[in-house]
This record gives sequence, structure tokens and C-alpha cells, in this order.
Amino acid sequence: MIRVKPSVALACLLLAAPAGAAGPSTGARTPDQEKLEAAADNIARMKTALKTVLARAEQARNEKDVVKLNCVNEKLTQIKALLKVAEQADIALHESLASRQGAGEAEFSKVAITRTKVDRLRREAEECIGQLAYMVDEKTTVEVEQPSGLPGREEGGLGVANRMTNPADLVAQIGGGDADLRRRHGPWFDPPPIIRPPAASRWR
Amino acid sequence: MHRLVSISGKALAALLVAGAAAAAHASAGNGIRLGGSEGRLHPFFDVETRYDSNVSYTVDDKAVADVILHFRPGMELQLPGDLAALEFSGALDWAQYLGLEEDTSNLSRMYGGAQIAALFARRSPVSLRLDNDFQRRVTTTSLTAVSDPVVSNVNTFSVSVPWTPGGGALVFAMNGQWILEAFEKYQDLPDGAQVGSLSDLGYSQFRGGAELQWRFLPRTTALFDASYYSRVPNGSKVNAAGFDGEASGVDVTMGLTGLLTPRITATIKGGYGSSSTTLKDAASPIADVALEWLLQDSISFRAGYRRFFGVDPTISTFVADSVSAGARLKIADRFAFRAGIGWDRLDFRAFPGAETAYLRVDPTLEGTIGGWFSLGLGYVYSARTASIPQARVPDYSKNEAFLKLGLTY
Repeated sequence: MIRVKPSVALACLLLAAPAGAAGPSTGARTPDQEKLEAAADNIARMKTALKTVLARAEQARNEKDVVKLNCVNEKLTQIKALLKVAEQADIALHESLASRQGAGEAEFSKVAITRTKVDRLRREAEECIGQLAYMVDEKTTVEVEQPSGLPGREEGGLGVANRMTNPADLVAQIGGGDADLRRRHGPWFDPPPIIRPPAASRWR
Repeated sequence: MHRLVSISGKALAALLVAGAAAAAHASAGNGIRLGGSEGRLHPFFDVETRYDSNVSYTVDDKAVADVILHFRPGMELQLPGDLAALEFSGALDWAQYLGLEEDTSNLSRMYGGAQIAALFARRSPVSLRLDNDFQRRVTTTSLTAVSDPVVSNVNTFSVSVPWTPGGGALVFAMNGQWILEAFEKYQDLPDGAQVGSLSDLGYSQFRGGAELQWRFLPRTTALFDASYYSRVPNGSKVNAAGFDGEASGVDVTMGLTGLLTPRITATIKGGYGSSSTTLKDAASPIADVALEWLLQDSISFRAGYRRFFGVDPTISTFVADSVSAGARLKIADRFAFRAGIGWDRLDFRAFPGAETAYLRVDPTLEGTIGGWFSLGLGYVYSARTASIPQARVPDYSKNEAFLKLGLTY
């Protein structure tokens, strides 16, 4: 037989009482009409989150990014299931309040908890796209800043005024057999990238 | 003569000092900004000292050597823009022959060149490009069958309308060109050696054509071009060879260009050309093959072969086989050493056995310092061998060495 010390039992009672009283007391104090309104609001917000994540999935699909799409789809599936649970709980809440069989605390809490989980999943879906911090409704773009000194077509140059070009910079420029056509239309193809190490000293 | 050298030396020294003083205040070749635009004007001044072992282009045992000072004031203009872009580069070139071995003062004269290009609607699917290039120079290749060099004044006007319907992967262009060339006497020759009236050898040549470029792979482009030309002489006389100067012809080529590896590019074009003159009609395959190899970031090589049609105003159509090779080496990140060799053989179809060959070797060291000071140091060996039945066309060879200094604002 397990013997419980009186002091421990008292401590458990003191700690358990407030914890157990927090949920029911809050729900019990919430008027029925406000419960219905709060549940409807939670479900509406969950549907908005669903739309947002659907848009993210479409965005990932347009970008043809399989990794992003799989990640978002995983969150989307969970949100759909949670939304179904919340809608069933909302119906049960309405029935409970209408039949006066109880305060519908369990259903009301179910909807609230479900919304919390959906919010978390929406944030995770944003992380999948990588736009959690900015929430910009644009495709992911990559801007590459081409270092100076690379060989390549000069967008601004017509090939006539070349005096400011150092002949040393032309050593690595290959491509284009017909010099006259290259001058008029640029090189036949993008020249191969030349990666030069940074200068050891700016006074080289 | 000594007085002339003295004056030239003083002028050169004054120009160098003035240039250095101006450069001290210049902001490293930034040029003069035009209003509030992006346009820049770059005045420049080049001084070149050139030793030429054969300024008269005669056989070696009669060659006259001389030192020539070239003074080239000029300017470059750049006006970038998407709607309209303009570039100009032009310079006068006063060649002062110092007369080391003989009196060559009559060879001193003004040369020069100017190029201008305008591009409209660069970003739109249909754009327009206009080019004009004027050159006044000494040449032995314009009248290659003549025994003497001449001064050529040649102006080339080109118009091109590229159409890029697919974002640049496909380029279709209509091209037009007008070449106007006239000749002047370079030096006095003994009686009987001078070619007839040089003014009668001038001509206008009109060329129209189309070209197609299709980049069907990221690094590979297919090429096709076709053109028709017609040459009309300024004079109406038939020369001693029986040629009245009129010619017309067609060129059609197609091929591929692209990267074989990330460091090797190749171009292969082949086709067919024909030329029709009063002397003889001729047709031949034509080609353009080139290979470039970027061994390291600072060393590159190239080699090429071309076969093309040309017209000499004196003895009609020729087919040229041109082989060239070269190497470029970057030195100290500022200078480039380049060496090239080229050999051209011109086969005149109207006269069996008539041919001329040119050889040129030119190693050069060149570069810029600070964007405003340019330097060139080089050597050129050039030679011509000719075999024209019933004509006196001397072979010649010459060695040239030059030092060129330039200041650009």
C-alpha cells in the first residue's frame, strides 16, 4: 500500500485546484452567444489561412520548385484536416448550446486549439517559401551582380569608342569568329566566366 | 632637314609636357560629361615614332628607310541609351617623314579616320543600327595588282535592321552597305611606272543582304547569311587589262559557332560565292573557320582560315585564301602582349597564273596606365610577293618598329 504524506497531498491539491479551475471557469463564464461568435471567427480565420497556404502552394508550383511544393502541401493537408475537425466541433457546439445539454466547453476549446495549430502551420508554410519575414507576394528572384572585369557583351557599347578599354582586359575574351558581325550584334554566345582572385593589394 | 627634326623634337617635347600637365589635373580619363546625360567626350592625343625600312615599298635593294613621326589628335564620344545610343571615334594623323636616307618630305601628309555608330531602340524587337567608317591611309592591298602603294580614301556606310522576335535567341537582320573608295598618288614614280589615272579606279560598291542567327543551344549558334553586291566605277574607261571596273556577285554562307569546351570556341562557316565582271565570271566555295583557346585567364590563342571573293579595280576578281594565327598574353594585369601572323594569297581568276601573296608578323606590347596613359611598343614585318603575267609588280619586304604614347582625358 502506498502511503502519501499529508504535506504532499496538500501541496497537490493547492496546485491542482487553480489549474483545473482555469479552463472550465473561463469557458463557463463566456456567454453562449460569444462562444458561437468566437468559434465562427476562429473558423473564418482558419479558412483565410487555408487560402493563404493554397496560394503559397500555387506559387511553389509556378516556380517549379518541388521541394517547396512538397513542404507546403504537407502543411496544407494538415490544415484541411484541422479545419474539418473545427467545423465538426462548431456544429457540435451549436447543438450543445441549442439542446441546453451543456455549455459546450469541449467543442469550444477544440475550435480554439485547432485555430492555434492552423496558425502555426500557416507560419510553417511561409517558412517553406522562405518569405516568413517579408510576406511579399512575389516569386522568389535571384539577383546576380556581375563582377567588373568579366568578359562579356557591353550592353552600352557599340564597339566604336574603345579607347578606354585596356587591351589587357581583352586577352581573356574569346568567342565570335566574324569581328564585324560581333561588333554589330555582340558575341555569338555568352563568353565563359572568368573567375579572378581578389587583388592582394589595392596598390598592385 | 636638321632644322625640321629640331622643330619636330621641340614640338613633341612640348606636347608631352603639356599632356603630362593636363593629365595631372585630369581625373583619370573620366572625360568631359555632356550636360546632364551619361555621355562622355574623351579628347586624346597620340604620338608615334616609327622606323620603316622601306617607305617606298620597292624591292629590298632599292629600299629607302626613314623615321616617321605620327601626331594624332582626336576624340571619342560615347552617348549610351536605350532609345538611342551614339558612339564616335575619330582622329587626324599627320605623318611627318624625317628623311634619314633620302628626301622623303613629299611623303609627309595628313591621314586620318573616323567612325560613328548609332543604335536606335536597342531593347525593342526591331532596332536600327547605322555605321559610317572613313579611313584615309596608305595601302598596297586596295590596288594589289599595281606596282605601287596608293593613298586610299574609303568610306563605308552600313545600315542594319535586326529583328529579334524571340527574346534574342533568334536574330534576323537586313543589311545594306555602301562603299565609296577613291585613290590618290602616294609617291612620284619614274615615267611609265605610274599606273594610269587613279581617279578612274575609284568606285562605289553597294551590297544588300540578310543574315540569320539562331542560338539553338545555350552556347551554340547557327548562322546563315546571304548578300548581293554591285560595283560601279567612277570612271568609264577600260584599262589596259581590259577591265572596265564593273562587277557584281553573290555570297551565301551558313555554319555554326559555339563553345566546344568552356575554354575553346570554334566557328565554322561555309558557302558559295560568285562574281561576274566583263573580263571573266568566277565562282568558288568560300569559308570562314576559326578556333580560339583560352589556355588560362591570361593567355589565349586563336587560329583561322578564310576564303572569300574580292575585286581589284585593275584586274578584276580574285579569290583570297587567308590564314592567320595569334596569341595574347596579359602581363602585370595592365599590359597585353600579342603576336599575330597572317598570310593572304590572292588568286586573280581573269589571268591564269596571276597571284599575289602577303605575309605579316606583328608582335606588340600595349596597355594603359590609370586609364589616361596608353603605351604601345611593337614590330611589324610585312612582305609581298607577286606574280602577274606581263606586268611589273615588284616584291617588297619591310621592317617596322614603333613606339606609341597616348594621353586620354
